[in-house]
Amino acid sequence: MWPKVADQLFLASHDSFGEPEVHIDVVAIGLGGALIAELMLAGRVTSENGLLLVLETAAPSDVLANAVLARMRAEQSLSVADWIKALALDAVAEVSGRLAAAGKIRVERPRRFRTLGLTRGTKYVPIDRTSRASTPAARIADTIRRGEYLQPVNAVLAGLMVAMGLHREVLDTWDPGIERHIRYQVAQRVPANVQDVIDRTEASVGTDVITR
Amino acid sequence: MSNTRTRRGSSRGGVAAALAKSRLGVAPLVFSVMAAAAPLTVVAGGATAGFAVTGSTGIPLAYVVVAVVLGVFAVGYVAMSRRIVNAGAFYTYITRGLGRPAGVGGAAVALAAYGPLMQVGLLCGFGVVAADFMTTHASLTMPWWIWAYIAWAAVAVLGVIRIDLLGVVLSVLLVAEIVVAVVLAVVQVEHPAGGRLSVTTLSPSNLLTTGLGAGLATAIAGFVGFEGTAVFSEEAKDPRRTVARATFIAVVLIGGLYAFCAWAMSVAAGPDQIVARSTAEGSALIFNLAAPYVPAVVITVGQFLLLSSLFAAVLAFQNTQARIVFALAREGVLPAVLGRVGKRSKAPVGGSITQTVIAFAAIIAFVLTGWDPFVNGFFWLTVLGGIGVLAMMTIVSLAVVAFFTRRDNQAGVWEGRLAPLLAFAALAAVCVVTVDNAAALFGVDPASGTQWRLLGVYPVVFIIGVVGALILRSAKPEVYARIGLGAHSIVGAVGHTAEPSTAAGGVR
Repeated sequence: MWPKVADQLFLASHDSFGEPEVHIDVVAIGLGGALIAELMLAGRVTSENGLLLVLETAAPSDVLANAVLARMRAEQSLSVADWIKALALDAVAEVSGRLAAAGKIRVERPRRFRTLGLTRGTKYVPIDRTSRASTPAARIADTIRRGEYLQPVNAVLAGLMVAMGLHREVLDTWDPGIERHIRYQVAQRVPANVQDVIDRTEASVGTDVITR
Repeated sequence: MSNTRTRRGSSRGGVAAALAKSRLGVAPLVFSVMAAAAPLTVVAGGATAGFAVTGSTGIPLAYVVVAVVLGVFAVGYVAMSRRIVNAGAFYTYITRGLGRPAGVGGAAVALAAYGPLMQVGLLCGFGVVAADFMTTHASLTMPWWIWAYIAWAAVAVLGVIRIDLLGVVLSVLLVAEIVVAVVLAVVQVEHPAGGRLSVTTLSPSNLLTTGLGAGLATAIAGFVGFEGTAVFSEEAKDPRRTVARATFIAVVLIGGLYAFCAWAMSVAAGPDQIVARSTAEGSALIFNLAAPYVPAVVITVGQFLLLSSLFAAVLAFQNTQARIVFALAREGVLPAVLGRVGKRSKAPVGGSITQTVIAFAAIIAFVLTGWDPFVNGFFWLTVLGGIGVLAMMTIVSLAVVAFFTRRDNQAGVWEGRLAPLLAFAALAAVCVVTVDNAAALFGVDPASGTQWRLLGVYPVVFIIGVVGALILRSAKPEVYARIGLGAHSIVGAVGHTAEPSTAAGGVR
């Protein structure tokens, strides 16, 4: 099974009406980090001194991951930070496409006035709206509440949520301890190269806040 | 990285190109820093205040001199921005050149200069100009502080939400205000006092008067904002060229416009009358001098644009302050809550709300004490804010030299050594004459000591910053290590590997 961190992050980033929980640009940056994290967890890429390296291995089973890897192979000298931003350009469309193809969400495009900023933009409505308890965010919050360790993939997901500030919206919003707890679990459970991707995602979000 | 701007990169070799395309070019950078400089405000209010305060006719030339000095400063500054792509700029550079305590001291100076001084001063100015404008054109008479609070409320809201269209509106208004300033200046030059075009105010001898320091300090206050370009280095299209071009274009545009407009006013009023009329008519002078020769609507539009110019500057400094607070909170120097980002707006709301609270209190202080909103508010606070930025630029020049002196940070001799050293010498000299002229600059009795109480704010906050950094060094070494990294402070941080105290028994 391909570790679809980006899919989980996308679902966690949208409410049951399909509206983003944080600014869509922040969602995009988080997804950029998630797409790299997927390839890293699966051993297809790694990083060295901040530079992204493609490893010569079998093609990923996932179509989107395969396409991302092909792009990385074609352009080898970009940094992890650049890749996060580059993937963020198309990440919302690509990951929502993967989710829609799998029948997990329905994409609703607004008809008019989009460029004037008068509408909220595209909605990504989850098909299964009944079970809030089974969402990735709820599972992460539950595990942490019980004082247990997260599965590594979930730790990556939780780490990216903190990087985006998403945890404040979808996890336990009034417990300041949860952020520290997730950072601790990331440090314990997540491979160093993926930790670096998570940190650079947070840095990228910060830069975006300052410069846009 | 607004979604409307993004394009799908082509499959081969197009990733870097697509990335570059999504980033900021020269024009948006110039626009964003010009709004903070508020050209029409400076030409109408700053230049006339300069003539009035200094009693010297050298103001047009002072703008030219300052533009040259800041241009030399910018050489080392943008060289640094190529090496340190980090959205902290001023205090980041001080940190990297002169160490963390000086960096936090510099940050404290920035936090005092931009928000509590510059922005509050501009709010006072807005209140006074708006009260005049509404009395004249709408027969609506309300005290200045009501108008100031209206602007304050609007900026408070705009600081936490995000309206994509706002940037376009402000850019259009900015272009319009520059056009009006140029039109008024051309009209003034075409109608010289006594029928003869005079260039006597451009003679260098004008500068060698007693008011030199005061003139240069007022001139520098008019440029504040141009230094904002380096903040965008990480998101600039071409890190080597975009910031450099935008910075020099901004300095030349601002300097050229100010010098031309100030000279034009001196031509129309007459070099012998410009000081007296500036003193008597203030920010109305630029309009009064052109009014006989242009349709009344031009004057009304100009007065409205003066208001919008003030408002845009208030908003720009709100955002500048919010960014600095955000970056410091991300590093852990300020409380993490101040680094909060708006859920929908992606705006640095923690920093923005802080400034909103400060500005609210400051206007109350003016109302309660009865301080004059134009002299004590607009003029004192914006000039004092400008002096803070001047002090920071002086320190940054030294930091640039120190940074490039280290063996692993190479730069050309001109951009890494000569230019910043030259800039340091010039800026330090301006600092010295400013301090020397302080009483005249603020228009106070030298014996009263008021000038020292005003200028004293900077040494005090600088020392607070240095002491704060030293406390962090022993109390929170992991935070101390991250000082100056801004949004990047998280990368490679070691602080969060310690087990949280609540872990053993679960989070609850």
